[in-house]
Amino acid sequence: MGTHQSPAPATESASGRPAAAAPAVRSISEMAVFAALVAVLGQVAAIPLGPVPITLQTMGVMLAGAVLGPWRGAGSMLLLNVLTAAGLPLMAQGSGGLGVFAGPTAGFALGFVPGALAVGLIVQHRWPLRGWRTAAGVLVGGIGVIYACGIPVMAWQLGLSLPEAAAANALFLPGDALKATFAVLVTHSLARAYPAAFRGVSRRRATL
Amino acid sequence: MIPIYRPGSSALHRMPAGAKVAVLLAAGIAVALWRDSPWVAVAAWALAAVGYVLAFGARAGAAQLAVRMWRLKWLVLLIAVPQLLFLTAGEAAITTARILAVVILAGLFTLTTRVSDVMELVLRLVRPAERLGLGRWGFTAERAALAMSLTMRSVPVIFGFYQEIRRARQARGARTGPAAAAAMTTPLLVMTLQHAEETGEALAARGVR
Repeated sequence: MGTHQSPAPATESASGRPAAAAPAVRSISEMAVFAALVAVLGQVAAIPLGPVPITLQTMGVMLAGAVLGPWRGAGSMLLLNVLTAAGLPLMAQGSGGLGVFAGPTAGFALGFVPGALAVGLIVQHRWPLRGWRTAAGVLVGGIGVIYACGIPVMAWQLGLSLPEAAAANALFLPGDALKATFAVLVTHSLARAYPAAFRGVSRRRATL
Repeated sequence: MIPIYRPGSSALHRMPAGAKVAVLLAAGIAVALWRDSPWVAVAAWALAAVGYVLAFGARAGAAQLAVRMWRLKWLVLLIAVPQLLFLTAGEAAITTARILAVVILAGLFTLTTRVSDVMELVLRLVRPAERLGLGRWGFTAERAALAMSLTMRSVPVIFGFYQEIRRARQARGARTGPAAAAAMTTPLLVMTLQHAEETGEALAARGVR
């Protein structure tokens, strides 16, 4: 929830927009709407894979990091976690409340925070975005970091060894790989449709 | 968006949120410490059952417990399947019962505590951090409160955007499925970001910094 001072705060004027809201207030509203977006993506079941419906929630986490950058991305995921703990049904399939953090999937939900941070650090390393860098970012942050947070908690809760828990989670890898692909495509189509959104990226070149 | 909270006037409803968190934490730690004992799982279930009856009365409490259990069906699958692959059925049963008991107990906290009370508790934790120096980085309790209320307000707005885009696609006869979901995400993202910009400007115009 910090008010990260972006390295290039003057991007609004560069894109021909009127001088917009104060950076702090704008960052807060971006983090808030992205937390809400990830919550909404968690309610719409998109991939009916096996018995458990797979939502697009983790794609939202990847997009939070890729679009908002590391600090605001992580801040929005922290907001999502705090409000879930406060009792709102914001996680996948309308789950919510403190129960989310008492169960075996607690690590995955908490992993959204460092996950979005890692995605943002890699994807927004510099402008313009590169397809290979975006792909690396969503794979490392959106899958690697989230699994690295989620699997140990799950292993401990279920009394499994780490490889056993990892093997059990392999079931979700195809869905997550699909979501990572979508996240890369969506990020790059957004960079073309609405480049002003990526205001946190340090711009080496003046033109978009 | 409907919170999970169910209003009531029981002792559990009136208990301060911080005290409830403390009890829950103690129960969670106790269950984790003696995790191999089936008696701990039994005790946690007994505590949960007593709590639900205390909060909602015998009949409504049992109904509420049944609703919670039904909502946790995917979680049960997620807990049970990996264990049945790698452990014995007995171990799997004890672990599943133990985890579910803590989740159900945590659910009781959420059922009996207003969202605003938990947010107040969070802000009470943020305020010392603000004084200790996080405030200099722009992290203040006031801003945390603003961010939380903006998020709550944004969920129905963005869900409305999603339904609008879906209806427009249906009207054009566009396909549904995973690829369609991805195609819908780009306009959803643009609308979301424009909403963020407008909200930021509206707040700045009202003098929020």
